[in-house]
Amino acid sequence: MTDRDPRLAAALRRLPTPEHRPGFWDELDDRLATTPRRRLGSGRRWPAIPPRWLTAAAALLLVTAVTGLALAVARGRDAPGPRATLPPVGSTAPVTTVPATTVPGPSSRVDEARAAALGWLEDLAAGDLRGAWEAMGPVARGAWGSYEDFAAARTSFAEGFGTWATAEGRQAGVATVGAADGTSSSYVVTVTGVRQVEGTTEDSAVALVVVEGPGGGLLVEPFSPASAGLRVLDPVPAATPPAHGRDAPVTVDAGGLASEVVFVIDGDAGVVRVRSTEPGSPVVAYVPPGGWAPGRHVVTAAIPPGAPGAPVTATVVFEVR
Amino acid sequence: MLGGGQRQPLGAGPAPSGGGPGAQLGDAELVEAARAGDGEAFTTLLRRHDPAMRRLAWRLLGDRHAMDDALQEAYVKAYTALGRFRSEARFSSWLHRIVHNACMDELRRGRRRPLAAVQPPDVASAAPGPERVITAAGTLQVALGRLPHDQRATVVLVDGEGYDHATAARILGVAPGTVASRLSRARAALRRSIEEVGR
Repeated sequence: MTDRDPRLAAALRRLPTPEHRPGFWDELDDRLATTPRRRLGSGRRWPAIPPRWLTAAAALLLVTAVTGLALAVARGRDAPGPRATLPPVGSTAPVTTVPATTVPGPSSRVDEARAAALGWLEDLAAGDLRGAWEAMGPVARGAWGSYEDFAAARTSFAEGFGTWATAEGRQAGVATVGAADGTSSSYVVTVTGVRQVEGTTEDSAVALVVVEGPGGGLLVEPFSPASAGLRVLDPVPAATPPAHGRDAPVTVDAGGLASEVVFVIDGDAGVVRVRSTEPGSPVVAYVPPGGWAPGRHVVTAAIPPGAPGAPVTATVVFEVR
Repeated sequence: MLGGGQRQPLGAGPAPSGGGPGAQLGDAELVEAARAGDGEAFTTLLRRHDPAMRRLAWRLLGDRHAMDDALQEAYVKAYTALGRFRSEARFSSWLHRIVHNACMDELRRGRRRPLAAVQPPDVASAAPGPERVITAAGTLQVALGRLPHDQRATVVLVDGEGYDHATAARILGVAPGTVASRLSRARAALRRSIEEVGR
């Protein structure tokens, strides 16, 4: 699924790009000859990496151990306390409307989830890639594959996620959303604020899923290989919050990842679970009963842990006048 | 035949699109062969994806020497990091991420000239028709040069290379929602800029 502007795409395709300077490939060949690996074109073979089955087996053992630990922790909680109780799934109209419900989690755990998410952003801002890596859950780590690959994006992180560390008027709302498989709690931390991005201001939001890790710790899940599968269709996210109709639903495309989507309203004001009632349609929409109150709103759509490809989030800020 | 025998060095390679032995193989097979020690497979991969990498680097840096310097760094990094590449990922997006990071490093070193100041190469292929305004005489090139580089990279990856928001987000190190907002802002700025330049 792409969101390509066909006219711009055609124009970009026609835009010329210069060839390399003369000798570029010879220069590269010479440089590669001095790298730890052998010279390309020498006819010799590089050292082979470990057999794939060995890597796969190690990964499987790790996943099994992590899953087992997580289940053991979840089963050990026979008195789960004020867990989130989600409203019933809507099932009567293409644009499903379900009353929003405030779902506070245990306050200390909510605070811990907020601290985990903000700490991760601040690690990236400070260039502490090791700290950020260790704060991430298995899905996010799996999406990158290795710490080295993650750390190689240091510059991008500093200019992307890292800018949230110094956002003006930064607020972080936390909603307890549970997991789709019901085995554990998870949290959606929605961070809003005005960021300085290359000298321009961007009033926007980002949502991070925080999950229970083995041993009772909390881990941030900011990356998923399937995050292409969820995006906001209306209102279109923009650097300046777009105007939105009082009775207009927030509409998302779940891309076949899940048949229902959790909407987190204004960070911590409410959580609703909404299902598309159009057979086979990936489009899910939500508008609160009576419409949106005038003012600025932040809505996060999330597919929580347990669904294929999850956790995934998409966030939009908009103004209702 | 991959996996041994006499091979050409990079500089003596055939077509930039990656012709020659192995050219008919898919990326996954070439990556597998390269990881197993076949340097020619890596050569074929680089040459196959080099046009797209040049497009990104040129649009970001706007200077041929800066573009080549960044790509040299990126290709060496890719060479040394290939063992960590996960075969279920797309090689092109993995390489784009490395190239984008190298371009950001190049920008930080301040070795580029503003894109708008660069004389665009000859636009022989500018087509008439509805797109004429944004393809003629480097107008789009100038308009792109006016964008901040984060927006420029976003529009090049999504509109130019056809990446979805999530993949572009991973390449750029931002959230998918940020890609959407940057894209929206970049397109609006491009329209404004093209109208100004085209007058």
